[in-house]
Amino acid sequence: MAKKKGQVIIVTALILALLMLAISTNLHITSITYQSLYYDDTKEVIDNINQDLNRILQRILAESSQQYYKGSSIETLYRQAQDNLSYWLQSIIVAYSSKGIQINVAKGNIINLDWKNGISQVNLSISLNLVYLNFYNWNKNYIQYLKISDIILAPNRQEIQFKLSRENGLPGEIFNSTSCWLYLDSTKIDYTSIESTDAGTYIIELKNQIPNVLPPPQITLYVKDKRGFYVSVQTSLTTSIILKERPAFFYTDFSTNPSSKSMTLYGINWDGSSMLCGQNSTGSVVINKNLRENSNATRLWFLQKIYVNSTDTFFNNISIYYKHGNEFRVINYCLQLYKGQLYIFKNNVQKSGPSNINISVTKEWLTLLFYIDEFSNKSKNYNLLNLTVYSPSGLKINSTNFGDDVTNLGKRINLTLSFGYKNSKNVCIDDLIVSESKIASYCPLNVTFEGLTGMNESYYVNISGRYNGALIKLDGQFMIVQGAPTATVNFTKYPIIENATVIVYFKQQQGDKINIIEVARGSFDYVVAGDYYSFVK
Amino acid sequence: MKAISKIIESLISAVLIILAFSVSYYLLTPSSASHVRSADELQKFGYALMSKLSSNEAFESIFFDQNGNPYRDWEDRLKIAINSLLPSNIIFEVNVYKSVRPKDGGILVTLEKVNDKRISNTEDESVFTYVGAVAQITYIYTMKNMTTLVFDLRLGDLGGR
Repeated sequence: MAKKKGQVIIVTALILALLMLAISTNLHITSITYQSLYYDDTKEVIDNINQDLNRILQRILAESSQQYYKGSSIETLYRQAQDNLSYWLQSIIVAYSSKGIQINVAKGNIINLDWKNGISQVNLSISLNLVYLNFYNWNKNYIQYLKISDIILAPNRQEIQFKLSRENGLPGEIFNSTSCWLYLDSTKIDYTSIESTDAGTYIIELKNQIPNVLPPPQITLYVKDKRGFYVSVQTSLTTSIILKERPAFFYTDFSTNPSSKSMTLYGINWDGSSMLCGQNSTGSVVINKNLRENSNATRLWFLQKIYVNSTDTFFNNISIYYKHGNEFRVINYCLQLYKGQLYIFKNNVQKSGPSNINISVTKEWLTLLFYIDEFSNKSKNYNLLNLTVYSPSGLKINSTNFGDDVTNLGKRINLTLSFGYKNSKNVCIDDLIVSESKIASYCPLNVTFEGLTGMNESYYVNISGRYNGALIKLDGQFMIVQGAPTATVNFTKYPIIENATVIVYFKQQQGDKINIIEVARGSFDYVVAGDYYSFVK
Repeated sequence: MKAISKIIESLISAVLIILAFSVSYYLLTPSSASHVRSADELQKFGYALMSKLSSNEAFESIFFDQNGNPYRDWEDRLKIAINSLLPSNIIFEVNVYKSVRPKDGGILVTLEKVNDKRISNTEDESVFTYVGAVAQITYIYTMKNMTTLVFDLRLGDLGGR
């Protein structure tokens, strides 16, 4: 019995030992399995491929653009780029064969040397699997580029400014102070220095002036950046063109900025945030605005937009106060709408009308525009007052016009506008705009360009843009006014302009064809009184 | 006699239990945790090291002079560069392969070893078999001359066990 007891102890110990061994072996295997899943190097492999692909693409674009600069054909460079990429892909496949790498790239040329538009670019999309690491469908698009834009010749014709940019909105960086090359037609131009003025903006100071000839000379600019990318652009070199005409626009838009209003209210309460409709006959709004205070304006614009939903009587008074010697004088102009006809009075004497402005549909709007031009007849020391009423009907615009000479207004003019209703409650006033800082679009915009000396009437100007969400498309022609090339474009059709692009061009006859050659380009949004605008090619 | 057999039985039981404990202890604790964690860290460290050398064109300055001519002692320069980035308890050995474009008629590139000398901070290659943790890293780098190099880097942790 005792012997059996001893055996039981040994067997129990044996079972315990086996149990412990089984449990610990199981835990050991579990821990190894867990660790082998955890310790794969997928991230590091992908990082390495990602970095080296960026590197090879950079090398390819640097090499291709340099060869292109030296004169290699684009087809040869496409082929070389493809060969280099293919070599790299195979190297990756061999190097990472132990990871089960599978890699696909999008077909097509990976480089784009579009030097007509001043861009050198490399672009590639890849998808990648690491089969042995159970990693699938990793996709990425790679893009690197260098772009030249906004080349401007300064008015002194001895400085050229350009902008250099790269991917991800970063500014481009030139390799060093000798890594720009300039050619005028095919002659190399020497320069003394290159300076960076802003992120990606460079100014090249030339040794000699660029000759002022027409048509504008063709310039070719080559640039190399810190990555070794070359890029070039060829452009007609014009001077910076400056919008010189600066009508003084006093602008008060009550509908958008009631706090800026400067007006006195009589009889009605209007904060400018809504239309004035159906007021009593005593209603009127008076604006007292000293138009010439703090301004060197030569032409003063005034614009008012009126919604009219009746052909009934409406009046609009404009009073001009000016100083004559030691006394103030006043001239009253009155615009009256009566049964669809427009009348204009000066000091209660009818001067114009009736003019049928075709107000036949309810909720039509009228635009009243007038300006005083103190230089209209300088020899007689006269000022011209011009009053125009526009009433668009669909795309067609009807207008009536009234001009008057206003003698010796002097520099200080106070202007009062009042409007109201005599017999009707059906007239509404919406925007009341005395143009100050924004372009009053119901006026002819006279644009004078500076720096285009030598241009003549054979040049044209084209303006395209947007107003109230709709498109503007206008053409104008150059005129020579007092020796300066000027283009006059009529913006009558368009309410406040949001933005516009201005292109100056000339037409060149080539056989039966007429080529349009653009010589300058620029853009503006709102024309601000007193500011200059540069137009660049 | 009975007493002797009881003692023997007890001893056998005790030995069995102690053996089971010690085997379990070996399986569960000593090598696995520290050793495997160290290998993982070594691997990450190896990639970080190579990434550092590849940034700012450091490899270019190891292999080529300013005029683009290859250094004759580039193996020594590479050894110094890697060694300068390693802690003292880490040993390394690196082999550099060049991806060679296929000859006429060939399809795939081949890898050719380019270092004639051994590039390592240890004389004895067999020391890698004794260290606590070893990591093997494959790293690619494309040079300015469009040649793709493949670095086969082996790291060992002397303080691992």
